[in-house]
Amino acid sequence: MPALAKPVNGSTGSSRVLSFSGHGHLRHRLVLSILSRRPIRIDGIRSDEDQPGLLPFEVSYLRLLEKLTQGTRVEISYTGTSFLFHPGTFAGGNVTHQCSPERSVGWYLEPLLALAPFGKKDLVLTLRGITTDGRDASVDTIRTSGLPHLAMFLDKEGVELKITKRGHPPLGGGEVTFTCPSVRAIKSGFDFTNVGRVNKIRGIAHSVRVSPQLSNRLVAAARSVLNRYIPDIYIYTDVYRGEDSGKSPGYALTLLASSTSHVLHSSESSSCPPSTSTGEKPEGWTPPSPEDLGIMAARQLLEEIRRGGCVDRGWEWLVSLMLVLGGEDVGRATVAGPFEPFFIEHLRDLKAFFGTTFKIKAAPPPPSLNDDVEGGSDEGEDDGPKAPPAEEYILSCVGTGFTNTAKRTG
Amino acid sequence: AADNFGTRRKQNLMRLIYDSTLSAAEIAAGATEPTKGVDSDAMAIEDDDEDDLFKLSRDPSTAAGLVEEQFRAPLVGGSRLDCWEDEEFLDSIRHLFITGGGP
Repeated sequence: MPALAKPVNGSTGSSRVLSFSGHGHLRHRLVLSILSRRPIRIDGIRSDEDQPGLLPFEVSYLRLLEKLTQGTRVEISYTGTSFLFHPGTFAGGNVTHQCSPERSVGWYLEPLLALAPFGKKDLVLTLRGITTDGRDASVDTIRTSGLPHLAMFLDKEGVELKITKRGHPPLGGGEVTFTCPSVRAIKSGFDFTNVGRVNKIRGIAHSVRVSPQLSNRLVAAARSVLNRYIPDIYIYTDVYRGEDSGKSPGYALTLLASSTSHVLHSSESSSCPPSTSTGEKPEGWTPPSPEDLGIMAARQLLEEIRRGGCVDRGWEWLVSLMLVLGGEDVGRATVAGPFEPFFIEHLRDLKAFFGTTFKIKAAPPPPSLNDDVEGGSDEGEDDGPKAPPAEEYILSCVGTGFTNTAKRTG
Repeated sequence: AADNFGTRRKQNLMRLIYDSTLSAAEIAAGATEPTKGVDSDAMAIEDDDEDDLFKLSRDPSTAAGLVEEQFRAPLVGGSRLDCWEDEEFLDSIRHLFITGGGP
């Protein structure tokens, strides 16, 4: 049993309560708790730090979950370093929430993607706050990469994220509306193992409260790196004016590569200052030029493409969870390695909540690799620097046959 | 030899994730299943100075990794992205694109 995820095997009736320690994975564990209907207890939340206990944005997230569900009970200890969460039923419907300024709306929205389709009613969630902060998933990344990863498991259309207003840190002022239809069950027997080849690249450059010309410079810089590979590149500039551009200046570029088999890889760079523990902007820090940011996003995209896999980095948790929730059939997905700590922890959490373990085996090297070796042999192996090949794993599991009992049939 | 090592690690990944007590950060950093000997060594250290070990494990991994829970930390640091300036390096991933050679 992993050290961090041990179920409490108490002799009393509370044996279904799962215990965890620390504030890591808090958001995702709460979502898993609601889906699996298992209460959780989290202890040792920053118990040794200057600012102990839950921070305002975490409490705000708990409040949001209370709004989204019926019958949820949260008991927070006096010091805030531990709490007990009794999950209610996820209701969905129309909900509006003002996000805490310490974290962007993406921080709130990212884990909720997994919950969204299982409401009693279709979900229409409006979140206000910071839309891009360079640390959490930006609304553009969620919209272009996160939503497709969710939508492929649903039979229904209508998963959307509308960015009504943008809001850069520190003041924010953005607003987004996430809509997701409610379903009774998700697709089963999912097979997501064909990586394919990148055939198009899309992107969104936006700038708020600065010259709109900056987004054009972002686009030009990214194109200078990517144009060598494929002609089908379209990066559009998203212009927000007046009220819709929030309260603080900033610019960012989100890139998305799509393959012949609809595999997505995305990257992003933004003018947001690097996050510090205090949340303050470091002294004397100036935002990088649009040229630097454009090139950085493009190179990061190449790095993601090189890494391979069928799941965009950052959404492995979502895809693996959906495989667990699928029908009682084997679902498979190719995930690029090396696995990040977050994903490893998530796999352990999935076992703790649902009892599902994944079979993980190394993926066979793609056939194109052999061509490469052939091609490389006439010019010599050690000729120039080469990108290391992708390290890929095939994850497979039998779904638990999860059904959304709150949703009426038909 | 490098290939061998790679395969062995890949085979162990399931066991590392589900059956080992290594932390997620340790596995991600490439730690492999501790052998019996290593395991007992680790235990010995733990017994020796429990306080030190406690602090160590908290500071680098827990504090840095969890306080700043970040969506998708950059894969490689700023300077290592510079390898993408190299023409041959750039060309070496051409096979991943539709325009690249091969089947």
